[in-house]
Amino acid sequence: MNTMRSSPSYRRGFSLVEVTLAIGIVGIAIMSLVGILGSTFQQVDDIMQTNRALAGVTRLVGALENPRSILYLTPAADTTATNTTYLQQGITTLDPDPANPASNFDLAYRLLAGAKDNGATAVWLYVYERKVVLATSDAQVAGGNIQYNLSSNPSVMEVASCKGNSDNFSPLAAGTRNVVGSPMRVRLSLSKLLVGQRFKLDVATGEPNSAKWATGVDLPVDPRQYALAYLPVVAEFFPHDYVDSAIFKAREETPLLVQNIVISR
Amino acid sequence: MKTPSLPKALRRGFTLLEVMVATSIMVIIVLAVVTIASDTFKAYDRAVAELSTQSEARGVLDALENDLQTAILRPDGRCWMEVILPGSPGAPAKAPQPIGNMKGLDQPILMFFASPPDRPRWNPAALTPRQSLKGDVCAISYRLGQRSPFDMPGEPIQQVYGVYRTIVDPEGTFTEALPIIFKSPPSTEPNPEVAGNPLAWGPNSAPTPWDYWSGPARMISNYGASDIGGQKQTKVLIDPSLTANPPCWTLDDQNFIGSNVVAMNLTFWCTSSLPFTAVAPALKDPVARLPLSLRPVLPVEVDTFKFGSTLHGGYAGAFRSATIPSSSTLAAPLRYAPLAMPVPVSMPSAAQVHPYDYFGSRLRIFADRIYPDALLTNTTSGVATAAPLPYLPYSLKAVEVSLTVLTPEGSKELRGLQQLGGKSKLDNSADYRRIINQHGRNYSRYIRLLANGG
Repeated sequence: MNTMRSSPSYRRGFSLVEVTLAIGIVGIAIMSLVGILGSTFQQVDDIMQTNRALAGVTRLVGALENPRSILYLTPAADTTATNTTYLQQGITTLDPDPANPASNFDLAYRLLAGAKDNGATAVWLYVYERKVVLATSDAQVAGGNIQYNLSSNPSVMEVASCKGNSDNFSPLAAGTRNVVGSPMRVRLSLSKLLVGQRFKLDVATGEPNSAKWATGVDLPVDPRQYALAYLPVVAEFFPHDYVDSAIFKAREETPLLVQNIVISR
Repeated sequence: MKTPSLPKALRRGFTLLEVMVATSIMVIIVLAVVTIASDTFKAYDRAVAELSTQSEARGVLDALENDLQTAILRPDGRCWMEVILPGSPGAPAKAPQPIGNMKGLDQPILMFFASPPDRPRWNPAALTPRQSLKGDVCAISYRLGQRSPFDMPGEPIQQVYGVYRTIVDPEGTFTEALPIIFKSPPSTEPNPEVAGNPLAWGPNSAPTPWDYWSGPARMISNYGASDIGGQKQTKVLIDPSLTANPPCWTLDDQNFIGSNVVAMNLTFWCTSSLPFTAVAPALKDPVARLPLSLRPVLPVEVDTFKFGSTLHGGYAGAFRSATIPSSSTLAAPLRYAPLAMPVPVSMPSAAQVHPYDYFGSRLRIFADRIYPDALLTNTTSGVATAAPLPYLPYSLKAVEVSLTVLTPEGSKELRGLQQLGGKSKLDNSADYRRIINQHGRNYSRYIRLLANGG
């Protein structure tokens, strides 16, 4: 029996269109896989950042109750790891008479009283985790090999103000301070819990006067004239992407975490 | 029968060009698939490493947070909290040596009293009817140790590092621990600021939690499943021997709460009641001696002051390796590391406060002051006319805990090397440091001591 002979139309190869289509389909499949992977990585990063923000909340609360532990980074901090001052030294109006140091609440009040909304008046701080020891101390090259020196290299959380650098925390500053992961950018503004509160003391009687606070109203400049025993603020955490402050202050962003904080006298 | 031959056009093979094109396409596809698979595995490994280490760290940090937030620091002149660094020169005689390849600095023994929500509330020996325990103050200790996940007593290999939390029930604390703390009435102690002889006030005159934990065998309630009827047992709490079998109670399997933890570093944040003596920026350390400011008090491996080095600055030496010559040590800017010794602060009795905020072996914590060790007379700063006070007038407000947790991959490598050497400790400590560096993940938490105004 003779094998059936193929007709010429069956014997021809694939056309260019067919091959292009096949490659295109495979390409799309691969690209979609890559896309799914990318979003998975993004989700993992988001979870890690939220965790870091959660860890930073307690540190931020501690820092706002002891504002003298908040660092004040100037442009010099970009290149010099040890070039650091503290908040009350960078913003001298917070502690106008250092010989008679202001209370911690007064410092925090003077820092935050002007943050009437979360727009242009908001106060920006950074919360980040940093390794205690410089990477060069942690691992050094000895005889051509990397030699690891430390049996542990603990990390600590730090809160910093970059007011002296237009609220910019630069990658260089992060590098010199051994920052781990993305720093958190925190926007602080007065909480809506103040709305309707009688917030101002009558200087003559020492009692709260009839004025009630509403969004946008100025708090007294002098903390002694503030009638309440606490200052409620809202902290909004964003992952810091090192863009210029003019850009991140202007754009709409969804915070990773929003936290109400009450600073007590 | 002869096989019918195909026509010539069908019999020919692929041309070289066709084979090359097909091979190229295959190579591109295989490369893409391999890249995707590799990325997927990397993401999986990363996720597993993060999740695993985070889960271990969270368990330990949550327990520490519950305990430290409810810690008791009564302002009655008694020592309510203590930290010992095993193996350090000034550690108590009965203190154990460092475990495995860990440094003493990385495995502090933390002892204090607290009322955590998960404290024992029922007498395990009285099940029907249930009998509640009286009181709510518990003696608690944390320490790091090694254990085998396969629970093979005496097996030196396959040991993983981890955290042990020991909690003594309120009745046991009341009958055995608190009497030790209350033993010495503080009213008999001299007031260092008026007595004129501040050194007469010795921290050793006041009993501390260490006296309870390191003393003779104590009566404890065993809540474990292995216990017969939940009867009380007599156990040594902390044994200087690391090879005792069975191990001391603080290293019992029941108390193991987190594995692969290879370092627990503590920073004690204190406010200072020191007088205001200098105006910034005259001070090298911007927060030096400012009242109401938070100051970190850190453990150090080597007390440079004590050993007479010319390199000072508590933070610069805080976590420095002993393997680096002091001349090549870089300043580690935890805050600001002055390389010259700050001037001690004068006190009313002409005594001076030690300028450093660190300890090398032992830290005793009172509600309104702390006693670091090695508070020697300052002879190197040019101010040698007065003796330093034996304590720092600091009030502990918060403890920042940094845990270093090994990823499963790192733990596997470490155990592999332990198995090769047939020991629970690696002979080459460089291998250990490399594994910590490459596979260690850090998790830190700032925990406020609410009872002390933190």
